[in-house]
Amino acid sequence: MTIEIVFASGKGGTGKTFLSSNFLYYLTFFAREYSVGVDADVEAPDLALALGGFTCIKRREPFAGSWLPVVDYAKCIKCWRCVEACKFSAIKQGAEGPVFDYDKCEGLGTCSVVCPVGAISMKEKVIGEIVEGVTATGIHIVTGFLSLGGSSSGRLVYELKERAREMKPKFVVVDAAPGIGCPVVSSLSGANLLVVAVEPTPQSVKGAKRLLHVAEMLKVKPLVVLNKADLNPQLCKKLEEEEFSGLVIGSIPFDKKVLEAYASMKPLLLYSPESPATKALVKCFEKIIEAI
Amino acid sequence: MKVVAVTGGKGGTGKTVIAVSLAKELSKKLRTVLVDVDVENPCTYTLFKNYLKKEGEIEVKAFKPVFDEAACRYCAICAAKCPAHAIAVVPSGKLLFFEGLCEGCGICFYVCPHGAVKEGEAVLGHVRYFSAGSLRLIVGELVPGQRRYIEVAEATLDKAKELWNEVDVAVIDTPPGTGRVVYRVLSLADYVIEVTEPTRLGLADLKRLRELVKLVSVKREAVVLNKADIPGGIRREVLDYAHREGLDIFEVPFDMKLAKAYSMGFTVLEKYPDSPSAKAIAEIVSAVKRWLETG
Repeated sequence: MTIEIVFASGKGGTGKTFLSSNFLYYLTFFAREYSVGVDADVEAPDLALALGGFTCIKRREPFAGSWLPVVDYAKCIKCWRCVEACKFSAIKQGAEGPVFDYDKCEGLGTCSVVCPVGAISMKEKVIGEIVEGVTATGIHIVTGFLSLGGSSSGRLVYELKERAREMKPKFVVVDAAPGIGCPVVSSLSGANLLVVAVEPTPQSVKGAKRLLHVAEMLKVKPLVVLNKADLNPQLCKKLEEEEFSGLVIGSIPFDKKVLEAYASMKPLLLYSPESPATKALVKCFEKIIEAI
Repeated sequence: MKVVAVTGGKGGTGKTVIAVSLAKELSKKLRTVLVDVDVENPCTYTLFKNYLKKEGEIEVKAFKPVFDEAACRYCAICAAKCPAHAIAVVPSGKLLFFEGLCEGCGICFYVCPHGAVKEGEAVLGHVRYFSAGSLRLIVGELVPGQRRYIEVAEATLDKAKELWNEVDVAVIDTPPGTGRVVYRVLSLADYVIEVTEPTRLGLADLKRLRELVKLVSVKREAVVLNKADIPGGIRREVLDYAHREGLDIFEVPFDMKLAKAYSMGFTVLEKYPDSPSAKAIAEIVSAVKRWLETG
């Protein structure tokens, strides 16, 4: 039974990749459990980098997660039901038949369904790339790259999680995208546990609250880690006692070794096993395992 | 009318701080609108402590199906055709609709042979508009639990475009990433400010973002390296990259005063104008003013 743990935040830059990359390292080398990482931040994936970069790519393939409508203008009878049916206002009347605004088209195919003469067919559209490989630290990662300027990231995330599960690991660790929208919903869907990375700023707290709301709707159990905690200890205390009471499993101090570790592309647990941040991380990770 | 996009790829680099500082300073002499399309977690309004006047709000609505169980025969055609897998039908007589997964395509409405699907409305988000002195602010926000952030961002941009004839400059604060929303904003922009930090992740995301910028025709680009001198960072590498690419680059030093001001709901220019980061941001503002004057 694979256990899926998601690291998300609401606001960007609070430490999702920092926590998830070190947690993967902890699971693999401290807890000695076979674990696979999923980089679900498909617009700006960083997880493999944080673990040393890929040294071996096992699979690299395009992902066709969406469709594009294609018209056979010879069949079109200009009834314009497609124009009326499109909920995204992506179709206009043209001289020969429907004209599509592909920037607005979501590729869902309502036009094709309502066309009474079958003039619209849906062609597969490549929306990104999937890369499976092993990083310098020996950890398997499944990463997705969404085509620049693209949408439908949620579908790519679902596919990445599927690929990770196929490897039958004990743990799947998902590094989610910032925000609370489509790709984050896909990241959370079906997960066993959510770890929220919070930094002590009102903006991060707002984002975290929005995320917790989404987690509740999707029935995923949340835990909170306070990152860069000593930047505002008073706020951290308040968060532990009030806003996130009962959810906080630990605080990680701001530590320049974190940046040095990133610069050398090594997880902190490997780069600096004795630093205060490392010790705080290990305590948090033990709590995460307990919570399962 | 010129559009300045503030983006960067990586989250948490300081886009909002730069966008708000820029908009506030520009509005002293120019008619300015600040647009927040980071609809999943808008933060611009948090830096206007106490002096935002709300002018109005609109709901961003979209189609959602409403199932009439009296008419439903549980044939499950809607469930089979739903591209989002948002409908589950148990043949013995139950239909489950997962609104959080619905993408609003309407296919269920069109394929139902029994007229059991009615047109309902989902509120995806809100576009709120404010004024702060002579500056106008338009903020889009997604309703948590809704996944359709692109439509809310588009509605926010549409609302902003209504003001295009009344302003001299629009500053747009984008979400992190390199997706559809960032792409749409870049397509409207004359100038792009790319905010990054001196880490490998920041540099990797900046490079990715720049590939997206190359797909649209933006007049000018500049990089802002925030928290530039943070110990352990790769400042030199980012500077070398910028020089190789022929990019203007502005550095903002790591400054606890900036974090403090941010936490309290002010820009550092307002709260600590003599601090190192405030002076650096003031230079960025001057550069943008020069761009706007010389076109």
